[in-house]
Formats: sequence, C-alpha cells, structure tokens
Amino acid sequence: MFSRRSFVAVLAAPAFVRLQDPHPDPRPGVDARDVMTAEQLNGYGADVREVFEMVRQIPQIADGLRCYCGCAGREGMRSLLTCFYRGGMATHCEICQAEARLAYRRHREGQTLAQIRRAVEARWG
Amino acid sequence: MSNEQWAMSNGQWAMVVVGALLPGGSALAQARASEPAKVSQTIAGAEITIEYSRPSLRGRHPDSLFGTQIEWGAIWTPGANNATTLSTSRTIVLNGTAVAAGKYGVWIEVRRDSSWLVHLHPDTARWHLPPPPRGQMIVSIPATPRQADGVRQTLAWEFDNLRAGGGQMRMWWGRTLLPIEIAIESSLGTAVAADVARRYEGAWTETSVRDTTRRRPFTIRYDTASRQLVATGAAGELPQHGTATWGYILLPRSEDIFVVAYTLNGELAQVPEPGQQVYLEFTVENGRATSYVRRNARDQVTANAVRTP
Repeated sequence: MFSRRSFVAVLAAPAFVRLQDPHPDPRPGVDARDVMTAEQLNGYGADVREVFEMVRQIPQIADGLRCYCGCAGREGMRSLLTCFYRGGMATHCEICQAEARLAYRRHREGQTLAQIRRAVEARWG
Repeated sequence: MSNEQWAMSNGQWAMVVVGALLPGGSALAQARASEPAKVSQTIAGAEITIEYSRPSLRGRHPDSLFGTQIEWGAIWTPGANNATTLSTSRTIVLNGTAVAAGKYGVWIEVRRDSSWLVHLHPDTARWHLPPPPRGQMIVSIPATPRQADGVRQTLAWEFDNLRAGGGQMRMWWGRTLLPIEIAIESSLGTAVAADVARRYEGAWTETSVRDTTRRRPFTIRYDTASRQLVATGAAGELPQHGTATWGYILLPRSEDIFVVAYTLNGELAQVPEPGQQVYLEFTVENGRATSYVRRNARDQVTANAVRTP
C-alpha cells in the first residue's frame, strides 16, 4: 500500500490529470442547422431561447467542447453542440446551458478554443 | 365454562402478566452483552463509518485489558461479536498510511512495546474469533496507544479534532486510548508540481475592473513542503483571531487556472462552493506568467493583475 510520500506525489505530478474523455475535434464545416430553432423552443423561457441563440452563433466552438453534464458517450451526444439539437438535453440541463454561456462569453472576449476548453475544464472537469 | 376451567395456576398467571408487559416477543431475543453501534463522520467529502459491537468492562480492572485479558501479540478486533468494520467513501490516510475507498474488517495487533498495528482485512462479515492470518491483511497501520484521562467502561470509537483536511479517530476502552490521525486530500487537489508553480510565484498588483483606482497586492509563493501555491493579499483583508491566521491557497483546476480557497494556520480550511468560486486565470509566456484575470462565479472578470515592478 502507498506510503504517504508516494500518495502525495501521485497527486502532485502531473499538475493536471484528465481522467475523462478529451474534448472532441470540431467537425469540419459544422454549422448550426440542427440546433433547435426559436420556433421549436416556443414555450420555453427567454433565458433558454437566449442560450440556444448563443450556440447558433458559435457552432464550431460548441462542437469542440465536451459536455460535462454526463451525456458524453451517449449515442448522438458527441459534443456540447449536439446537446442543443432536437432530442438533446440543453432545454432543461443547467450544465449544458452554463457551459454554452461560458463558451459564448469567452469567444466574444477573443479566446481560442484551447483557452475555452481550459476554462470549461476548470469549472466542470 | 366452569370455575375450574377459568382457574389458572399462579405460574400461568405470572407468565400472562410478564408477557403483557413485554414490548414484544422479539425484544428479548435482541438483548446482547455487547450491543451494536455505528459512528460516522464526514471529513472533506469522505464519509468514514465504523461499525462495531461494544463490550464493557463488567467489573474487570481498566488496566487489565491489554497485556492480560488481551495478550501481548494477539490480533484482536476492537469490538465484539462480528469483527469491527471501517468503511470510507474516499481514499484517506491513516497515521501516514493510505487506505483506498472501501469497507474493511478492523483488527488490532497489540504489542507490549506500544508499537501496535491496525490491520485492515477484506472480510467484513467475520466473527471476532479466530482472527485472520496476518498475511491476509490488506494494509497495516502503525498506531501508538496512550493512557487516557479517565476510564471508559464501554469500548467506544469516536472522531475528534476535525478540520478541513482531516481529523482524528480513536478507540477508547478502559484507560487505553488509541488515536489514529486522519488526513484527506481535498477533492479539488491542492498539490502543484514545483516546476509548474514557479511560473506564478511573485508579487502581483490587481486592479479592479469596476474601479480602476482600486488596487490590491497579491503575493503568490510556492510552499515546497506542502507542494501548494499559497498567497497573501493586502494587510488586514482576512480576519485574524488570536493565533488563528487565515490565508489563501490556489487550487489547480486546469492549465493556468486556479480556484482561490482559504487556509487556517497553513492548512486548507475552506473551499468555496461551486457557485461561489473565484478563479485566477494566468497568461503564460516563455514559461512565466505575465498577467492574470480574477473571475467571479459568474465568470465575470473582476480584476486584472500584472506583476508588481
């Protein structure tokens, strides 16, 4: 069994250990055509419709992010973007929505996909 | 019905009365010489539970337990009936020995020279006799008994001295106390590799986004002993009570991104809830951090920081 020194050492190095699936590569030419439309979101609150509009503006970013709500790995759920497709979880999942808002905000700040991925990992990884 | 048929012997009447007074036929069957007990404590997100039965001295001298009733060199479960068990929901460190999450049978090897060993065994449904062979134990934790202030008639397990990163669990029976220090790594992780930490060390000046005339010093240094990035802000911004000194610690969350948490007398004491966490995000150039932004829980930038000239 571990000694305390080796136990602490395992935790200390490397600085960051990713124990979950990495972020997916965004599909070449991916767009927002399959993101639920405003009409399809009729009946949902304004805040939900707002975040879906955000994702429609950043499909390439959203498709390059892993969703940390737990849906990753389920059939059809390849990225944060697919959470916002019809049948996805984003209409009622706070994590999908919060992650999308963060991605949109960071994109507007001029951050790269790599920077946005790190920010997402820091909060939900 | 005749009077003779109604009549009952005194003994029969006594049984009827006693039966009526008893709470239920099953209650008598459950009375034991050593009743079962369970004590549980959550520390830093780890739930630690000890299940055991509690033997009592019942007239035995409190100094006659170990070395006499329980012979030196014996392997003994600290309880009665079924062997005592210990379960933990996360990896913990007991007296410097790591114990993985799981449930274990607990056996103590008592020694005359006080170099006792707390053995953990995979069988959690074992009777207290015979003890399992030493070679089957998963882990053996050194522990040193001491004389307690007072006498415990009934064997007890308890938790004490709780803090953010650990505490103490102890067994107490008669006049013998066996303390076991518990250390638990925060689920967020506190350790940072030295070569990584050097990027962020130094004196920084934060400027508030809402009021650019508001500046605040923030000094980051690497504590090599604990492998942690610790920080101090402006004088007096954290409460000081007597010898209790609060400080900051940067918990690594992602590359060049840290959550700000709090230490008390150098130990991790408080990690903000996810909805209240503050992040420092560093920009690194040529292996050295040149600036960072402070973000609140809503991901809003509240301050920009540069190295203090």
